[in-house]
Amino acid sequence: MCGIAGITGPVSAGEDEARVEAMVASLQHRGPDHHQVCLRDGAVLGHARLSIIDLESGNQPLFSADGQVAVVFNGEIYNYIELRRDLLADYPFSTESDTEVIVALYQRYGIESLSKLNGQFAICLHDQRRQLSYLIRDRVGIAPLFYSRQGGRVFFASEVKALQAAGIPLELDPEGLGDFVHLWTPISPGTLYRAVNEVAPGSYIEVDAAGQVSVHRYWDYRYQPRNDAALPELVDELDALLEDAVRIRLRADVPVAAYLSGGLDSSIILSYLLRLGADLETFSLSFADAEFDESAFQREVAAHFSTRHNEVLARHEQIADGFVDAIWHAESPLFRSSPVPMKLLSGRVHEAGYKVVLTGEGADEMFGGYDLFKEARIREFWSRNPQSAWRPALLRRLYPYLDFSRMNSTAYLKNAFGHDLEALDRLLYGHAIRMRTTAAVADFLQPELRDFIHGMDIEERAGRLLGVDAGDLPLFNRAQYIEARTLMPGYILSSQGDRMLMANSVEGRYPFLDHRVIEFAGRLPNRYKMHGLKEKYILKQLAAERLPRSVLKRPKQPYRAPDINALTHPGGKDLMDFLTPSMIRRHGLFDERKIRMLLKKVQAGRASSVKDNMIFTTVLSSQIWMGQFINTH
Amino acid sequence: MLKDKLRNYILENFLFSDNPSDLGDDDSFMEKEIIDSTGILEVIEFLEEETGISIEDEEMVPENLDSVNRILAFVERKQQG
Repeated sequence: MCGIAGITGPVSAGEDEARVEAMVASLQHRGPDHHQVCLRDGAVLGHARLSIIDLESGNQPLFSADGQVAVVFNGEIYNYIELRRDLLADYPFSTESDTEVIVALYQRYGIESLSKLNGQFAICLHDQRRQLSYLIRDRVGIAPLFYSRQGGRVFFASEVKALQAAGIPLELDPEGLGDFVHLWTPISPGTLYRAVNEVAPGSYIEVDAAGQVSVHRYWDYRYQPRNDAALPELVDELDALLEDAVRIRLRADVPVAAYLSGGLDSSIILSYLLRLGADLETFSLSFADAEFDESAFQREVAAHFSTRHNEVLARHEQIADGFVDAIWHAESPLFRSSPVPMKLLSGRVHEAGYKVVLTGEGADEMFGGYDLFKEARIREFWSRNPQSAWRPALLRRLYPYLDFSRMNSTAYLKNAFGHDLEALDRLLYGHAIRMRTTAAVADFLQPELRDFIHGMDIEERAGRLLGVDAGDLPLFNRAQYIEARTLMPGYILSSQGDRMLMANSVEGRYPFLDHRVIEFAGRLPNRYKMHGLKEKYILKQLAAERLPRSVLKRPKQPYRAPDINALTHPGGKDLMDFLTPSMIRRHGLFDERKIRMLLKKVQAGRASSVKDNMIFTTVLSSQIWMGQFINTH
Repeated sequence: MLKDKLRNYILENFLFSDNPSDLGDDDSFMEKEIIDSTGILEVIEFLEEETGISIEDEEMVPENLDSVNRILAFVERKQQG
């Protein structure tokens, strides 16, 4: 990956070039290998490069042979070799890079050529003759891309801090914060910042010479299950698709490593690397705290595939030490500390000399791996007979750690999971329980903001911004869709993905998010995703012969890291200075009395529930974030 | 005595408040979303530590635990029994 930044519209030599220079400089971590800024008639384009393909001549901005089209691009086009071959007769290529293929495709086919790209990308393409600029983002939102309209001009960048570096003042957007409190992420194209939007995944925006912006969606998830194929045929089809998705993601002029979580998804990726004869060096996170540690499974998989395995132990004090910097890179408050160890991990990958890692992200969203999908299924089953004492008992199987086994009364299960049980027609039905837990954070906000957020119609807003109606999709796919359009790009692939990788100049690649794999999953009958309550059923069938039995049989463990215990660890950075009464008053985000009581509970060692950990982590990270981005003076 | 301790415990740890009027003695913890299902286990731990009683699994029902007054009546029954 790299960093891109620029201004489209009327621009001046000198002043605007210097602005974009400053923007690019703020993205140094994304692209330490080469920086360049170029002035055009109607745009200034800047690029910070992390060299991965065509190390010699792949610098950007890159221009078409006739000089009319310029492009800056962050990401990878994995099928560029095939696309280039098809274009060779018509286009005088001067480099071996994937970037030039974007320009050649555009000149040959126009903006519709986007549908031919297989990759992860954020692109600014400036057409001087037509006086148009396009800001384009990949289908699922792996590469970030933000923009801000300023008068008749549009400023754009890979990260918000580059807009800040251009002198754009950042203000808190209460609706973006409301989205975040409900869904752990702003709903695209909204952000946490008032004058800033993101280019939504699967979309591009067109900016004309007058600075008018029009938004176009070129791709979306489709769920059209077909029932004409038997499971063995489907497994074979998926096998071929995944192998090719991994194969083209090995295209790089630098070595490629892999993350190994010890779970099903990253183990499947390793099995393809082995089959393709790729170099096998793996990197894993381990924790001293057994509650979070998966190293025994990781070692077993590493031994099974004979990889050169590296373990990074994330200690409590390192999580405290790295928290402020992780927020700076995430550009968002965090509900959990879990991004911080991911940054430690990418740091080790960088030290080992790698710029690229393959990961198993995306499989849970596409193939129904999350507990949230099971929860929605159980709630639907239960809603058919809401008085049943037995139906909700299935939930005990789902959340053994909640210790419902000790409780004899289904009344508590009903209280926890029976919320809006019969509102099956809601867009956010599958997310209702999670939203109810996370929205507890709003109670700690200052009253005006709290009341505003509690008063938001998140259901209506999500439908409007995402352009989807609950009636469009069956319940299971609805939950999948919401997850793929909100948490995945807004948190998993950003705060916990791209941002923690790029902080150490490492690019993540995601075979499960190859659009051919996604479209296959969209055609798959839901029973092959979730079979009864067995998640990722087809992936387990696929992996049956090639993974250790213990990995196939182990209960799914979501990646988590210690929160309060790490963030208040006496050996780590003292973060309590961000929570003093004067700091709470300074940022004006939280209710001072509530925070005082929260700290009392934390300091007494009584804050141990999932909810307490989430609230404390969010409050602390919000205070840090406010100082970094909103109240910077 | 137990009543004051219990009320303060719930106010401080679940309502994050030092205002006694935020908690009514008959307020349903579940209906008013004061204590969720994991939180009730924390309350049980508190009660066992404070009173020395031991609460059986079959006693963990809202009839015994869903408000300040219900808890006090339940503890009293246990102690008498």
